[in-house]
Amino acid sequence: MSAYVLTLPQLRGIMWDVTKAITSFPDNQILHAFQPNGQPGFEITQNLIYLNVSPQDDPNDKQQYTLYGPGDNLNATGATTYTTVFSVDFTLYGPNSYDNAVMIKSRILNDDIREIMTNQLVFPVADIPAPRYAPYDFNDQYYNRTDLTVTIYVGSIRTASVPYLQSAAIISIPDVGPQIPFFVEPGGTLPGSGLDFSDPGNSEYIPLT
Amino acid sequence: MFNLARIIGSRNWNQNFTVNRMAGGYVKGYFVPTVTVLNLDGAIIPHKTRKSVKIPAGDTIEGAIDIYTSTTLMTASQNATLDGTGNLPDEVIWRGDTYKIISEEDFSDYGFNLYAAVRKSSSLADSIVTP
Repeated sequence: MSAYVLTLPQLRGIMWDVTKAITSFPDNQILHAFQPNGQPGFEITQNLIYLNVSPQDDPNDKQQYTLYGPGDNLNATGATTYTTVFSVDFTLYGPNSYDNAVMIKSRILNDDIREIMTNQLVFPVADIPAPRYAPYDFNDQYYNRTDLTVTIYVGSIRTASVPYLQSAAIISIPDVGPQIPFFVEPGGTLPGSGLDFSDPGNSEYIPLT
Repeated sequence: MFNLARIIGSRNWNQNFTVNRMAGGYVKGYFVPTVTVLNLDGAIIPHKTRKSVKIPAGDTIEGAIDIYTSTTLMTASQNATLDGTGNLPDEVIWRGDTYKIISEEDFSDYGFNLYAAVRKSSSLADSIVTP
């Protein structure tokens, strides 16, 4: 299995597709926030959606599962799968901002919309907090604004080569009888063991218990 | 009314500068501009000290200029989300640095406009985000 890891721009793109499918807004009214060079502004009468995707800590992003499979003569393959968790922040402006937020909150769990995500290992969490209506003061006018946050679980797979054991030292230790410690003087012998105790460093021999 | 266009255009004050005008539209949520290079003239003076700012990522240079010109430069438009087209603020290339227009004071009744522009680390032409 090859590696599959979605980049942040890819995730933003998936969530843009999801938002488009839910709202059917024109392309120029579903926008990514924090574009490096900024972007043209908007007017108070327009219904717009700004998207931001950012990583989020979660108990479910700690586990990893590695599945080993055959590789070449020297290596096996290890495919490690894990979950990363992101919060998708929808910032909605315009007279219908709240209604659009409620529509996204509801529709994002429908099968036709989830399919866009699940095909790419993106899974929305059903526990979606209520949208927050937070009008925004600009040029002495309150712009209608509603914030909605949806948590998504994203599956990732990374592969690595795992080398096979090529050789191993095998040491045979003779059965020396009773499992009791005993002592051999330097230069002494232990009948039947074949061990050489002429080296003082080997003078003490304690069988493994 | 008096008109200062001749003073702004005087050889004592006037100099040429390059402007990147960036009109474009949205592609899958990203604003993608097309850069058009213009050669304009006006009087440019420092707006604030060009200084080095020490941050963990390195020493960065910040600065700003004022531009007096009888032509019109662009700040960010607000209609890209209405009709699908719009523009980012103009970039002014002056003495090898790139500046982005952030404010406009419309004295056109008196023959000129005054703009402030802040230094960018690079031209947008080098960093256009595409989907």
